[in-house]
Order: sequence, then structure tokens, then C-alpha cells
Amino acid sequence: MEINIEHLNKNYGKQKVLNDICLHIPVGMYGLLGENGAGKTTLMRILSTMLEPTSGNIKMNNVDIKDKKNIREIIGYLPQEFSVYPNMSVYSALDYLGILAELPKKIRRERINQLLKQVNLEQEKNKRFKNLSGGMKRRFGIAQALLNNPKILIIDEPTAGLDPEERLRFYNLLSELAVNRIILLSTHIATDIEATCSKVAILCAGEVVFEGDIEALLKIGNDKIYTVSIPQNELEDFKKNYHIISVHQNGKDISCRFFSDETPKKSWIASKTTIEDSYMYLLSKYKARGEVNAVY
Amino acid sequence: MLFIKELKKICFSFVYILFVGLLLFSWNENFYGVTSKEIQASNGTDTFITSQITGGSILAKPEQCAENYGSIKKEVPDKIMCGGTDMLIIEYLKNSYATYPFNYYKEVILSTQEQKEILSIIEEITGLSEEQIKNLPEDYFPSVNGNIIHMGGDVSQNQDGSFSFQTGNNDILEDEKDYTKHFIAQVSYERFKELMAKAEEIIGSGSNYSMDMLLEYYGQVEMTYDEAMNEYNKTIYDDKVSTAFARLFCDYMTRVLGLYPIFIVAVFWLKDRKNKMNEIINSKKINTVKLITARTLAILTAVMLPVVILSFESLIPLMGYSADTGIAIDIFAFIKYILWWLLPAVMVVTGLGTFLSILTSTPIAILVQFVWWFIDSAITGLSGDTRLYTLMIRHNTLNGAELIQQDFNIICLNRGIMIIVSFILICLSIVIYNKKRGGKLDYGYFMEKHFGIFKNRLLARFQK
Repeated sequence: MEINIEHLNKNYGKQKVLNDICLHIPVGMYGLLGENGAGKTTLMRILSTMLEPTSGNIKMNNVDIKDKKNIREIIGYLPQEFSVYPNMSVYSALDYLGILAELPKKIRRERINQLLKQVNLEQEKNKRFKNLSGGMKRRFGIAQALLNNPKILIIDEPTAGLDPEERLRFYNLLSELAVNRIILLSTHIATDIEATCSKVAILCAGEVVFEGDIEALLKIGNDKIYTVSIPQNELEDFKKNYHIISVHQNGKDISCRFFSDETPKKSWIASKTTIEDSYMYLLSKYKARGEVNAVY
Repeated sequence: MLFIKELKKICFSFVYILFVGLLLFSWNENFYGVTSKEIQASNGTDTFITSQITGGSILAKPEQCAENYGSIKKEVPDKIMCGGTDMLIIEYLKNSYATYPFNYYKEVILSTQEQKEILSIIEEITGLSEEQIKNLPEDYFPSVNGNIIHMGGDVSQNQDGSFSFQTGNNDILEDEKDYTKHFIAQVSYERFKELMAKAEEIIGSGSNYSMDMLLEYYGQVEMTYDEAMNEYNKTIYDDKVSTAFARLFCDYMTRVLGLYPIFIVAVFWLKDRKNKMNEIINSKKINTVKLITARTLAILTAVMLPVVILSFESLIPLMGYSADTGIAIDIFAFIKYILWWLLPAVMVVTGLGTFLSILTSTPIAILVQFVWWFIDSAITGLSGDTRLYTLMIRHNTLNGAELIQQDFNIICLNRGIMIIVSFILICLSIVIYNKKRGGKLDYGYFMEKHFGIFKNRLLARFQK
């Protein structure tokens, strides 16, 4: 079971939103990382049959994406922004969506009860949807996406607006669900990917700039991440010369975390690379290439 | 199962409760109690003013030598000329002419030149001078002249506000030959029609002088015993009593059903988008045909259900009347007329609402339907005026079964067209929904691309 994406392109008029995307997504949690506007949601919407690609081929579990009915049978989709009729209870809403998923009554009831338990919403099953907290709504979203017991779960930016505790709970839940199914998770938060996914693809301006496992991504940033302490008045000049990842006040000085391909100076202290560092490094490289291309 | 869920969703929505409220209000204002009162009037236990004026209940068997038997529509030239001229003189003297463009009242005041033209029309019809017209004898026109009542003479007002008058013997045709003392037309009926058309041209459309209005107000004559018996037999045997009431019930209901269901339809279809639920729904396995069919049937059921329930308020007393008198009624008359007259109208309103809401993802359907409803209301007469594309079939009377027989083919054709159009609209809705669902028709992108600039400018203006 896998998702095969071959030379996928999506244009909006003259604007190219996805450019020659090729991905092979195996069973397990797969992260799709990219900044806002990179084309993640467009890709997710194409995979969930909400959008038509301009060109390219997609096969999900050997089913062609054009065969929408069969694709919808094997996928579960949690969009970035979603809601439910506000006055519907959690149980009624799941029941309604179960009917739309064409589940027989008996299976529907069993599945809803099981999912409510799994996503820890049992106590809230009679609550109106509008009275749920943000985290509960997200867990409801997962439950509705799992109604048809899908082989492929497509989740778009699921942690937006969640507090750290809810985020952690949410990712634990996803990890539990990743057995024998593909979970494709899109996010712009690198640490989310680090916490959950074994493989990742990075999208930048509609192009895949990296595809591989987490270790390979970490290696990209190795020996390029440093920390340096500089006086506050030098910060602006420093910014002009280096790509800063983060800054924080350190007494009178400023402590800067940055990446550089240069030979390290004495004052630079090598730092342990995180996913976020590698991601930032890749993005800066890609953007620099884009700028050079634009000049030529 | 989906149908039940959708029906429940509609029935518990605010817009549906509002719709039922408006339906009840309209029914209560227009039809509630009509059947019971007619039945009571037929027993002589009620003094229902409508029944008195029209010569008694339509369910009361006419008795020979009765004072009057009510009136019947008939084009009697003398009556029409007398009534039309009377009204024209009244309006001329006040220089205030009532017109009803699109069925709504509008006062027209004429210029001196136009008044002169109206005066010359009156002079030609009556043979009188301006001076004589301004000083007409009190009994120049009959006391009751169609929709005009001249106080004094045979007319007096009772303590309860009703009027007492003698009818029948004050006919203008019988005695007086002096045209200066009593109205005697000095022109032929054909010439009179030409002059009325001229008056209509001067005053404006929707005046009291179109042939339709003249026939409506003055084309009524008192029935003879035989005519009254004929009307009674038509009600009892042709209409089997209940059909007459079913038609009147449908007439009042159609005005509501020609417009208000559009609110339910538009709100219902926009609800998914408003609640950001469309992507969740669209990613589910359900077939688009099944989804739209179930939702459309749920809307139709929700709209028709209260109508069917309200019809029992008339049907149950009629069943009692049938049991008491032994007169057979058609107990299926209401359901037949509801399905034949009302359902196609509701179907086409639902079809249009579904189509436009799905196509545009905006509530534009409400505006379009309002325009259609308004124009249809304005151009359709109160009864016997069904055309090929009439949305709401009107029959604002308990009598007049012959009008239905006369228009039977056009009514069938009209309702057939409405049903076909609604099917076409639903089929188109399915196609468009399917395209949007699969991302083949990205309306949001299209609108943003072509009209986004206007939206941005508007927003910028508001932000300033």
C-alpha cells in the first residue's frame, strides 16, 4: 500500500501552485512540511479529490485518483479549516457523516462508539459541537475522518490553534492510528514532524526540495548550525550576513542561533541540529537559488 | 436514512420555523374558518356577511322566490358602461385616479390638458356638458353600481357598520329615458370600449378602465333562480363540495409557497459552506445524485407537510357536513389539488433555489425568486388567468368550476412545464455540484480572479 505521485502539476490560471511533484508515500506517518503558501493544502486537496490536478498521475493503493468514488472509499480527510453544524451533537454529527460515508446502521453505531472512545470524546458525545474546545474539535475531526476505517488518512495542518498539551495528545493519537495505514500530515511546524513522522517531504513554492527520512533531513544541517553572542548594536549587521534561526537576550548581549556554510569563526559555537534548523537551511538555499535564477 | 436526517435538520432550523409561522399567519388571515362559516351559513345559523352579499352560502340550496340569489359574472354592456362612466366621473371630479401597476396602489393626478381629454370622453359617453357633469342629479347613477355605493336614496348604514340597500328594482334599463336625469349611454358599446382604452392611455396602465377591471367590477349581474340552482348543482355534484374549498385553500397557500420556500432552500444549501462543512461532506463516499435527491425530497416534504396538515381544518368540517346532509364529498380533493397545483410550484422554486445556490454559493436565488414571484403576482388575475408560465395558479373564489374546466389543458401543460423545469434544474444542480466537488469547477477561484478587485476595493473603502 502506498501513494504514488508522478509529475503532478497544478496551475491556477498562469500561477503554478504545484510544480512537477513526485512523491512515494509508504505506510506509516508521512510529514509534508512547508511554509504557508508552499502548496501543501493544494496537494492535500488534490489527494482528497477536492481538486483536479492540471497534469500528472496519482495512484493511491493502486487506485487512480480519477476514480473518485473508490478513492473516497479508502481515504479519510481532515481539512485545515472545518466545522460541523453548531447545534448538532457530537454523536449526531458523526452519525450524519457516517450515513454520508454509506456505512450500514449497525457498523456505523459500533464504529462511532469505538471512535469516541479512541479520541477520548465519550463524555462529550451529547454535547453540541459549538460547545467543544479547540482540541476536542480536532479530535472530532480525526474521528469523522476515521469513520470508514480508511487505509489513507489525510490531515491538513491539524495542530493550528492548539495548546502544547493538546498538540502532544493529538500526535500521540495519530501515532496510535498509524498502524497499517498511511497518515499524510501537512504542517508548517517542523517540530510536529519530528515528533511523529518517520519520513518527510519539504515543499517550497510548489516544489519538493527534500524527500527522505528524518535522519537524512537532520544530516543536511549538520556542521552548519552555530550559536554566537554579539552586542546588541551589531545584530542588524549580523542579520545582513547570516541566516538567523532564532535570537534571545543574554544579559547585555544577544545570543543568535544561525546557519552558515563558512568555516566557523572562533566565537561560533557549533550547535546540535534540529529538524527546524535543517528545514530553515533548505528553505534559504532554495530561495537563494530562486533569486539567482530570477536574475538570470 | 439520509432523507430522515436531512428532514430533521430542516425542521429544526430557524428559517423553517419562520416559514411555518408565515404560512400559519397567511392561512389564518385568509382561509381559517371559511369552511365552517360557509357550512353554518348554509344551515342558517350564521349571518356571514360574505354569504349575505353574495346571496347566501354556496352550500345552501336556493329557494324559489328568494329576495336575491347572489351575483354571477356576465358581460352586460349597459352595466359595464354605467359602472365605468360612474367611476370615471368620480375620479375626474377629484382629479385623483387610482391605478394598480403591479397590483400596488398608485394615485395619478392629471394635467389640465389631460383632464380636458377625460372630460371630452365623459361628455361623449353621457351626452352632457361640463356644467351638467359637475351637477349631476343625486340618483343619476344607481345607488349600488358595481363596486360603487352612492349614499342616500336606497342605501343606509346600519349600527353595526354594514349597509342596507335595495337591489334589483333600481335597474337603469327599465324606466327613465331622460339621459340628463339618469345615465343612458350615448355611444355604442364598441365606441365605449375605445373611449375606455383612450382613458387608460391617458391615466396609465393598471387604471380602473381596462376591460379586465371593468369586467371585474361591473361585469356582475344578479342570478336568477335557475342560474343559482345551476351554481349550486356545480358545487354539490361537479365539485363534490370539497373541491371548491380545496381550490380556494390552494389559492391562498400558493402565494406563500411561490416565495417563502426559497429561503429554506438557499439557507439549507449555504449552510454547509457557512459551517465549513462542505469539504468533510464532499470527501465522503456518497454519490452526488443520492445526496441532492435526498436533500431535495427532504425540502419538498418539509414544505408540503404543514400545508397538508392545514387542509384538515377545512376537510374535517366538510366530512361532518357530508355526514349530516348525506351529500357526498371528495375526501381526496385537498390532497389532489395540493399535489396538482401546489407541489409543482414548490418543486420549481426548490429547483431554482438549489441550482442557483449550488452554482453561485450565494443567496442570489432569493432575489431571483422574489422578482419572479412579484411579476407573477402582478400579472396573474385572481382567477381563470393561468398561462403557460404562471408560477402560482390563482382561483380566488369558491365558485367558478367552469373556469377550471375551461383552462384545464393549459393548467395541465403549465404544471407539466413546472415539473419538467424543476427536474432539469435539479439535474443541472447535480452536474454542477459534482464538478465543484471534484474541483473541476472552482467557483471561488473564478470569482476571485474576475471580481476580486471589486471585493478588495469595497473592503478597502469600508476599512477607511
